[in-house]
Formats: sequence, structure tokens, C-alpha cells
Amino acid sequence: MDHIQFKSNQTAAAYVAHELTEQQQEQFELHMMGCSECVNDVEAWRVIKHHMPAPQVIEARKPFKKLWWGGWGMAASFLGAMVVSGLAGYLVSALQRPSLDSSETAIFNLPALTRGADDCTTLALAANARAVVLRVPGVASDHRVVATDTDGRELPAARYSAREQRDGSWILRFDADLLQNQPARLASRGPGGSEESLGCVNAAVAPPPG
Amino acid sequence: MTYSDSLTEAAAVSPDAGDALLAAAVAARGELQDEIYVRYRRPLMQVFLQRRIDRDAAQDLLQRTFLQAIKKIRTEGLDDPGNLGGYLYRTACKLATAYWRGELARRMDHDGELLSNLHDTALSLEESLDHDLRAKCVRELMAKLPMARDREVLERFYLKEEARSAIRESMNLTELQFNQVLWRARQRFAEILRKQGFAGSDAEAHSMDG
Repeated sequence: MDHIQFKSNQTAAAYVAHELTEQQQEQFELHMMGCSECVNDVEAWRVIKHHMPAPQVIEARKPFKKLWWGGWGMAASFLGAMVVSGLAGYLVSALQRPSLDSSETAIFNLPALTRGADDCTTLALAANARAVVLRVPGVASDHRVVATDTDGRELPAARYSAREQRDGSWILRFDADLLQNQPARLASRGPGGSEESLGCVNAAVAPPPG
Repeated sequence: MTYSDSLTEAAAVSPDAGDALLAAAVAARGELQDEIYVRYRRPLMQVFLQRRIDRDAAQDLLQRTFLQAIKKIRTEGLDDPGNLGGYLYRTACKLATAYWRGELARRMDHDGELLSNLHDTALSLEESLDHDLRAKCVRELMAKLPMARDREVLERFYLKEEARSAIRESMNLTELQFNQVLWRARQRFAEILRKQGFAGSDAEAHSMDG
């Protein structure tokens, strides 16, 4: 058998794997005595055989394939997720309001109706107040509290909200600048459309007491 | 027939006149024994390793082989000086057999004068790259094989030491396809070794291209 046959049959690989018959092995070894190329092959296959890792090691050590965009995908996707969730959180909180600092919220009980329903009580606000919260107690259970402008139209929902508490009182929340620009008339509306005036409030910035 | 006669005859009729000249040179000038060592050390080492003799013992047997050959050349001459490689091979095989029969002394008596000049700059693959680097190269090879099928063939052939016929049958591979898997792996390993600066990997890569 000549060198070309040994090469084409991958005899060096078979030799290292102890696949050759005694006669084939002797032939190949005698050939190898004068063939440095086949010696190179045998050495290489012996190294491969000797250092062949177990399959699980091959899997575990499989090198990370660097992608064309530099392998920053994990970091980029993490950053993207952070940005999206942050943005979503901001929008939700903006919609829900209030994510207000307590110093930016002014809280009042509905002033007693001592004068006529058209006379407005001015609520004193700090200069940085952004919201006014008004508690309205003593509303009939089948009534709800609404805020209207001077023409009797209900204020836009984006500028105020009203909700009932467990104790039967109502909490109304206004944008502070709304009350500074226009008064809000409060009324208790019954199921049949009946309406009872609860008073009128507006707001103005006032210096701190003392 | 004298040694000179046999040498003359061998040089005239043997196609491998290099061996005969080398044997004559060794007989005449001791320093040329280095050339024998450089030429035959690596294939003879593979002969020992193939017989499952560990590397240290193989190194010892290698020294014995050359010692016997040099003594033989200097004292009696070779029956067929044109077949120096064959003589070394037969000597190595006999020593390997004697080793496994326990017929060799644990440590040989080194002949300092004969072996003092035996050194080699042409290192084998295992001598050129340290253990960790070789293991890394093989792991890289396994990771870079393009198909899972190729990995499976190598694992079964060298790790599990399954017979080629069994692998071919279970994976439905022809002999040609099986050899192509080995050829691809050898090519890739040569590339990996070249990157590590192992020059011995060049020859086989080019020769396989043709």
C-alpha cells in the first residue's frame, strides 16, 4: 500500500483507534518509518484521542459565539427592558396621579356652608401646591358628589376626581391651578337627578402662617 | 560478505540508498548518529505508544533501540543497510514485547558515550505544546466541527472506542463519508495547530489539498 492509499483511507486515524489488523499495522508502521507526513497525522490523532473531552464537557465549554453586533445583546435588551418599564411606570403613574410629594398637596375639609351657595370659600395654598384634596362628609349614601363650573357643567375628569370612602365621606381631588383659575361648585346629586348644593371653593396662594 | 561489501551492494540495489549511507556514516563517524535519531525518533515513539506503553517507558525503550542499532552498525554492520528503518522498527517491536513480558530491567544502563549526542530539534506535537494547550486545541476542534454528526463520530471512534463498522451502520454512513468526517476534523485540527504556531501542521494540510 502506498502513501496515497494510506492518506485516502485515513489509515493514521484508524491506526490510533487500533482498527488495523496486525498485518495492516505492520505495513503502516514500516511506512511511517520513512514518512514524516504520516507521523504528523498519527501524532495529531493521538493528541485528539488522548484529549477528547467527554460530551458534556464539550457542551459546557462550547465557546460563546460572538455575534456581528458585538455580543452586547444581553446588555442592550436589559437596558431596553429597563427603559420600557420605566417609561410605562411613569405613564401609569402620570395617568393615575398623584405621585405627589406631600408638600405639593393641600388637604381640606369642606368648609361649612355658612353663606349663600354662590359665595366661594378661598382655600389657602402653598406656592408649590399642585393638588387640592377636599373631604366632603355627610353625603347621602345614594348620592354622589360632583364639581361643576359656574355654568353648572361638570368639570373635566382630567382635572378633578371624586370617590367615596368607606365612612361615606367623599374625597375630591382638584388640580391646584384649576381652582386658582376658576371656582368649583360642589353638589350632591341623587339618583333621580335631584341636586343639593354643597358650596363653592376656589384657591389662592397664601404665605405661610406666622 | 564484509560490512563494506554489503554496504556497497545495498547502495547499488536498494531504492532507499539514504539509509545505507546513513548506516555507513554512523559506522564511520559517531556524530552522525544524531541523524538516525532525528529521522526515526518520532515514528518509533508512536510504535511504542501504539503498544500502550506509557511515555516515560517508551522514552527508555527508544534509547535502547537506538543504542542497539548503533552498536550493531559499529560492530557487525547491518545485513541490509538499506533498510535501517526496518531494522529499527523490528528492534523496537522486540523491545516492546520484552517490556510487556517483564524481560527488561527496570532501568537500562545508559551508554553515555553513544547517547551523549542524541538530541533533536524537530519536536513532536506532544513535545511542542504543553498538556493544557493540547487539550484546549482539541476542545476547540470539537467546538468548531460544523456538524453534530462529526462530533458524534469522533466521540464514538476515540472516546468510546467503538468499531468503525458499528458507527457507520448506526449513523448510516458510507466508508467514504466516514473518511470525509475524519479528513475534515484533521484539516481543522491542522488549522488550529497552525494558529498555535505548530509548524508541523503545515505539511499535511497542503498535502490533503491535492
